[in-house]
Amino acid sequence: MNKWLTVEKLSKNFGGVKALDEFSCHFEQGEVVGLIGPNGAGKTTFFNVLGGMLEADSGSAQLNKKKLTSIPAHRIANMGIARTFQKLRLIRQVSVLENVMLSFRNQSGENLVSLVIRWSKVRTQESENYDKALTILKRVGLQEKAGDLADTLSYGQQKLLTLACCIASDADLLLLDEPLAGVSPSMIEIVLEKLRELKNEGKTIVVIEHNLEAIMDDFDRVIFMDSGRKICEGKPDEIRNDPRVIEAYLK
Amino acid sequence: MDYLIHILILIGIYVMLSSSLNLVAGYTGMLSIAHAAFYGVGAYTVALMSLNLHTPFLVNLVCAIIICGIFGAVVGIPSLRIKDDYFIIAAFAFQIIAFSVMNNWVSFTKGPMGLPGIPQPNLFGWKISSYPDFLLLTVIMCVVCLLICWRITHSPYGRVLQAIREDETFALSLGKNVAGYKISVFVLGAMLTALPGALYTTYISYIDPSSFTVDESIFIISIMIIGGAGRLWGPVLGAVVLVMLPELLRFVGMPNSIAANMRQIFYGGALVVCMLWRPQGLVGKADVLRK
Repeated sequence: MNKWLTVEKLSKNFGGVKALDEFSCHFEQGEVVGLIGPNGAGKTTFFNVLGGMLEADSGSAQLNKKKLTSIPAHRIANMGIARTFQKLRLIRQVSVLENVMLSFRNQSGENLVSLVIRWSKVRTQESENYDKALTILKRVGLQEKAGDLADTLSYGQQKLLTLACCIASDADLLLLDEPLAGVSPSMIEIVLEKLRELKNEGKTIVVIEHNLEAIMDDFDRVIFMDSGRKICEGKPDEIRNDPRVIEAYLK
Repeated sequence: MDYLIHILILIGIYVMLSSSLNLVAGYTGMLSIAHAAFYGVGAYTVALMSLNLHTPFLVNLVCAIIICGIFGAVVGIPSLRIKDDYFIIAAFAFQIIAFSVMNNWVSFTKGPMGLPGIPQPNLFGWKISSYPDFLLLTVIMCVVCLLICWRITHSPYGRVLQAIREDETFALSLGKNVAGYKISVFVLGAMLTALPGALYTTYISYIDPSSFTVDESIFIISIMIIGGAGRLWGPVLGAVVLVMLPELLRFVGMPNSIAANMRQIFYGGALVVCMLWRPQGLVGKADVLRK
């Protein structure tokens, strides 16, 4: 198997706290990997470093043999990485539909120059994106909310919308930070179903999640981390019975 | 009649000033307090060129747009590294410096004496001299300015601007080059101030630094906020209200000496009332001050 995304000895300190301590791992294309561990284990920091929101102190990450570390965040996102945030991030004062349309990458209308000189191309692309956005919203079941402000959605619907934004980005790698937290049981099923669909489309998905009962069986592989280090990794069943995992969750 | 046209021209000037500020502050969330400084740069460019080089109005206008844009980049690029309150202070600094230069570089700008006798514009043989002529020019410029603003805000580019105002981190995670957008919109906002700058200069035919002070910047911000930041029509409405209402004070028979002070009180009062009851402005949506 080719190692599509490799992370080598990534370290990040906040003052004296080692949020990431020589963290290494790798991901293959098309797999769903769970990233679990107690609070403060460095899971979200890992996402932030990978996405370029934080700069690593040392170590490196490569996507498809292209270096990810020390590249500006927006360029990393354009290399095919989409993410959701634990504290939901959406543009709340614009419509649901516009949030999705915002997520399409490389829009010619987002460039001032082409806005002026390639006016008709911008318009064609914009109307194509409009249709695509509606299709995506239909797919996550939010088509009736398309015109509403994102702020008016329920919490679960907002999570679905962030997922819709990830779909719109057409990224190959999705980093999902607690997609199930605070979501009602019926909504959990919907979110999981969407995740399975995305996996079937060949997306690589890394999920941080605490609600292990619900999602554990959907993982191909689980990485357990604590204090910024990888403690162990393996199939969901192995991880479930690993004494180190049990100890960490009980202590 | 001329008085009425004069008021309409003033409204037009402030529509353009506050609309261009609206792109930067209302849509993108960068509350710039240097707008009057850019306005002054545009006005002085046109005045100095037409007085010293005797170049035609359109050439002066284009040069003013370019020079305002350059100043926008000079202020905008270093200011990008800082956010929110610090950005306000950086812009404020430019405002103060620009005013000091206009006021103290006597050999170049004539300092507080100002520049009198600025020739009236001549557009392709159309000599603009009467009040109605200037009103027509104002309307044309306003339409151009609002069309540009409309085109920008109703485009994918404008959508990203709003995303930056609401959540920069999210915009970054969607692959938007936040720094690039901030620079470009700041430069664009500065360039647009050249329009009212050129209009004001040639219309009044005399400029001095007192028209481009911090007070003026704050007045432009007030128009945008009271009218409604983040909406195309907000600044238009704001300009109509804030330019016209104080003029009405004349008609209630208030002597000029008191009316001038009443204006200041009125602006302050209107801003306070607006912040208390309608922080989003008359027609606005974005709440730029409460971030």
